[in-house]
Amino acid sequence: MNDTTPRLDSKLLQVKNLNVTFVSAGVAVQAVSQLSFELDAGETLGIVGESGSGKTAAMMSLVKLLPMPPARIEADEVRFEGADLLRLSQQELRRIRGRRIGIVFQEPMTALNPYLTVGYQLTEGIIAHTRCKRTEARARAVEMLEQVGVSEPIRRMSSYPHELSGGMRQRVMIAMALLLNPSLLIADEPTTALDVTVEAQILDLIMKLRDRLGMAVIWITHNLGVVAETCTRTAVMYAGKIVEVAPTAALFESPRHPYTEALIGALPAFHPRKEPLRGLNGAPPDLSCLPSGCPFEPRCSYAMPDCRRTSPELKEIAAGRCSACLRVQRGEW
Amino acid sequence: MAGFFVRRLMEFIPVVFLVITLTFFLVRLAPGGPFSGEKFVSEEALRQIEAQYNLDAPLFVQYWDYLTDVLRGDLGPSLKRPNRSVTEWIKLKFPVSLELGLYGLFVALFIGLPAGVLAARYQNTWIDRVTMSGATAGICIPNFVLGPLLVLVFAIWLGWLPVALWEKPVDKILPSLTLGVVYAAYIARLSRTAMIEVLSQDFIRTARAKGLSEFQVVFRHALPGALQPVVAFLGPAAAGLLTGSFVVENIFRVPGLGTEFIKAALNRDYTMIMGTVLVFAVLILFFNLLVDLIHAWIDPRLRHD
Repeated sequence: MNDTTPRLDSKLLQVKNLNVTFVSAGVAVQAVSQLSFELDAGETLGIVGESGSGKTAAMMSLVKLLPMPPARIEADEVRFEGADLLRLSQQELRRIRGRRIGIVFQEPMTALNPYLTVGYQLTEGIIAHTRCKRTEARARAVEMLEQVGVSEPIRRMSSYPHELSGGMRQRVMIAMALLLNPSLLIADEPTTALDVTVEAQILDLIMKLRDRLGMAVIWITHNLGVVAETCTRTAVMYAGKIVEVAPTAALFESPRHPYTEALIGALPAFHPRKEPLRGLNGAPPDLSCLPSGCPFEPRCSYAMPDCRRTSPELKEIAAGRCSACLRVQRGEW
Repeated sequence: MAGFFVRRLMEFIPVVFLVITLTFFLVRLAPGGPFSGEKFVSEEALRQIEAQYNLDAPLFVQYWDYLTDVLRGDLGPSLKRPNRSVTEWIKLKFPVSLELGLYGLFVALFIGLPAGVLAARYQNTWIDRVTMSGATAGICIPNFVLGPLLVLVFAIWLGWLPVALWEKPVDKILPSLTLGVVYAAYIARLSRTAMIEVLSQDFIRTARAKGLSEFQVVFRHALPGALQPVVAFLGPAAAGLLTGSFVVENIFRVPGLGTEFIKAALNRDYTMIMGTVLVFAVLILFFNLLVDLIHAWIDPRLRHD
């Protein structure tokens, strides 16, 4: 039941020109526009950006987990293990959700069903995908709980989510996402709702499981610190677009987009010196009426007249590095 | 669990006591008495009848006597139809109302709930609009219009069902529908709203992310949450349904308790009024208890004991 699909190239996931639009009351909000990226098997890609930059909408749209309507998802291609996800039937897509692509959500408090036991919520996925017996599914669920560090897993199987702590619930979420050995895990800010000590444990756990199970991870976060620790490559999103992609170390060392630079500059330095925090001036643009030029232009300290006229596309500027800045592309920065 | 049950049953006592007291004095506050409508009764005879039923005693003495009788399980004789005691009348009429009420409850649940779930799942489509228009109509049309309308169509024009009988199973279709439709309409609206709310929750997205079928998502993950307001509504509604509807029982000549209650009130049949109110009160209390139990059964977060 593991990966039986023949893989012709090494790319696990290829997304070409993904657009997500939310239409309600006649107003169209372009949450994600012209998004393209690739992911190798076993790779960890970080997606960073502020709230509303479209990171969650983009990743959820890959497996159509957005309410439609109001969401409208279009793409030239979302190729995953040889299948174009957006052109699959509902039933074919269901065979991929949970089995080949696992998802860990942000809020462990609300992402688990309060009416059902942990055991039920773990086993139902196994049973739906593999048609195995309940006892077999239970044994597998218990084993998985053990792997994610839940103590007394057999007793926990009959607990309800409200009887567990936040960190414990997130461990259950992770177990749930990894039960069927997916080749891709989408982690949507899995540690945002947890306190820092638990956050470190959960980060550690996901990375260990990634190495053990050999899956690829897309890590959605607004926390650059998390990205630096976990991701081999990082994509920075702004106003529904990827503005820069680079290997994580290179991105932090020499950002090639003014927005990335500003984000890194806004990280509070761990110094005893009392330096004022450097934030970003202004607010992200209104996604229902984007400017014709570069969306970051109004807040950019390097802006030039041309930036207001043309919206730069994401282009390769060096091996493995892409940027959507006009200045960078012209070699002026 | 047993402790919880006993504690809740103990709470019945003060409530029932209060209901008896209020009803006892309120019905006597109303002008006229059980025998004031009788024709050609001499003062002498009237006083004799009143003395026979203890109605000439001071009010508080009557009240005390009634209370002690109730404690002994005696609800007294019917003042207007003395051939049977109130207990006997209730034993005779209540099962009929209970049966009709149960059918009405089935109609309410088995039409209302699927309609609401369907409308919520296909929100803002024609399915939603058709079911919700139906529900609105169901709430707007009073049962004294719906009943005769159903009789006209199914009994008189089509001739499929009897006009007004209460013997064979087919006789019971029209009264049950007439009784249950309003409740079905309420349940449809309630469950639709609740279902839409639940379907927008995060844990529904989690269920979909697991690759579950839409059936599993709707019925296993969403329905329990959507049932809560329906259960809350059904408690008092069920008590009302089971004690009989005056209107429906009258349209279809159903020999139930609802009719008796209204007749007793109009005739100032004090003991009959007291008896039926008592049944009604106990039933409401019982269903409120049942509702709490069902709530806790559905939602594990409510299980304290």
